[in-house]
Amino acid sequence: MHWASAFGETNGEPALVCEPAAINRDRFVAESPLPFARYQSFASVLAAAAVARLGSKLGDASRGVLALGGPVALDVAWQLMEKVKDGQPQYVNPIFFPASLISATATAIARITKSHAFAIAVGSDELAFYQAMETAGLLLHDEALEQVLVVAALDAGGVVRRSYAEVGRLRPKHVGLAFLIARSTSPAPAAAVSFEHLGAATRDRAFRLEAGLMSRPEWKCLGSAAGAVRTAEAISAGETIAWRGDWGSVSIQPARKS
Amino acid sequence: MLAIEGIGAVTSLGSSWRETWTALLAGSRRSVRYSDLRPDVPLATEVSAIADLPRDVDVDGRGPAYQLVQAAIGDLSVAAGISLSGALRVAGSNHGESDTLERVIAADRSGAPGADVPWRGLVVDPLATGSEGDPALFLCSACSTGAHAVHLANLAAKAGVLSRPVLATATDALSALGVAGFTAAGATGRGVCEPFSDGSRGILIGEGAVALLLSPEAEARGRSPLILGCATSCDAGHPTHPDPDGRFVEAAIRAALRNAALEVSDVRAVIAHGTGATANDVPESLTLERMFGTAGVPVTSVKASLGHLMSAAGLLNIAVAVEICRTALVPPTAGSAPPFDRIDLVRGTPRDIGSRGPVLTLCSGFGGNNVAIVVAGSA
Repeated sequence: MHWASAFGETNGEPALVCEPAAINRDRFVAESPLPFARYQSFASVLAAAAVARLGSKLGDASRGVLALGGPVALDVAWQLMEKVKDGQPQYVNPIFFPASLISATATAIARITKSHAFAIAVGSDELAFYQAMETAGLLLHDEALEQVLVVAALDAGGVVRRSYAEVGRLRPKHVGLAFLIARSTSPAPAAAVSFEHLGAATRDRAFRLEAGLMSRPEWKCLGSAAGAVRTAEAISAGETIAWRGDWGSVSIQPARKS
Repeated sequence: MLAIEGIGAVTSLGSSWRETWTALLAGSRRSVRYSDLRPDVPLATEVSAIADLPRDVDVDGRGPAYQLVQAAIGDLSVAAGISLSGALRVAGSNHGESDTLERVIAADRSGAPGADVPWRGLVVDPLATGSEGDPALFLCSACSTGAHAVHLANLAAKAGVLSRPVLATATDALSALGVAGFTAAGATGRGVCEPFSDGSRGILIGEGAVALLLSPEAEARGRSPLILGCATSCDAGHPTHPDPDGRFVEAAIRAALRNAALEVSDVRAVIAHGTGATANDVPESLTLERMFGTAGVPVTSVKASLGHLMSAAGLLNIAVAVEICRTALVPPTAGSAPPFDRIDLVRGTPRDIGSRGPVLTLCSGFGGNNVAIVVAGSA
């Protein structure tokens, strides 16, 4: 597994989260590889920035995209709905509609990475990353599939920030992370991922440990991106993360640094 | 292989799957103007609405889409005659409960914030929560969502990791956001929806929910129809328009048939995506012609009858395929305009194919997702 953050580095390590005030939103949009980026959700812009940092590791491979779900396109849906409430539904920008779908980040990333296997949003809450990794394990049963790109993004500004405040959550932070799971291990990956299908999965899921972790407010405020941030942090710290879900078990073990 | 053990559905044609199937065979269709349903939204777009569906949204953001999926699960539970509480729920929706957003914006504009404004529904999607606190796996791939849920369940069955039945559900309700969005995107056109017809006039936006109960074949009760093969592809191109040559749909069909160990000539009927929009119908029909020939296989689409169920469209097509495997009857595609001559479109009355399948179902979604699924009666 390779991974990258949309943000720069702090003390030699990629920044995993970012305060909304710390980045120039307009510049991210202007520099985005997404077509019509200003009409896409800012979460999609952040996801695309992270994917761009994976660079040549993507290569020309049979690939699918899993993006973490949740209120990732709320900013676009809000703008579309405002037009309707203004009594002008006939003047909705046609680009807004596909961009307002929960799956819009997945399909936007599939487009810029030429990923022709699938583009699906998975999960909606703090468990989303773990569910996406389990789903990736299932999808990789198709031996023709070489790579799965898992992207996690949270736009901590505007509507999401307001929504969090209204329900009493801590203020969110921007997240833009991309994880590339590849059958090939070259060039040297950041972590090794193993998918072990244990047969009779149980309801006593090991990832409940992670679920407990996610219930902490400082993680919960990252929404569906929480597990991705937690995992990137663990890889950076040299920790192994493993859990068992409904469709098998997943282990992410950091590669030894030479 | 995966057995389809039960079907539940709520559509504009019926409050149960049984009612819906009967109406499809009869060639029924139902549509109204959206502005008749919502006089405050000036859109004359034709929609296929469920009569008397409560459209309130509670403080947690549960509204019509939530009501629909609960009703579909209830229908399935009654039809299958078993409890679903132990099933692994894989749920999906295109936009979630879109009316929640409308309620929040309306409250925000009124300047009178109250405790009943469903902000929570924007943060925690109630459609993504399973029954009895069991976390659902939530998916969205636009209108191919439900079909992707079945694809994942099928992969799990093939991998031998499916320890309990899968309850695959998808739901979307008509919303101002969806109707305005489809209309702005040019998908609805003008006039009556008639898939695969000359002068095809665009989609009929529908609403509804479908629930399927899926079990590994070895654990299935009785002789349920089987999922023989599934495959996916993604155009990864235009946000709303499919690849004009249908290359990726064809790739998915060929892969699904390979998975099912079938030849193209084995397919006895096709339940097409068939939205009624030229952008979809032309490449899909060209693909079918290229693969099956002009008179090679009967093709139908149910979307002119009960509308495009969005995230649930793929599950609905699978439900139709199951009934074809049971009855050998292919329901007609509603419409009277001349059909495309490049495919054998079933029109007028149900077609008796004298066979329990295999039946190919197709499903596509915005962003270019395609899912092909092959269903057949058990041996």
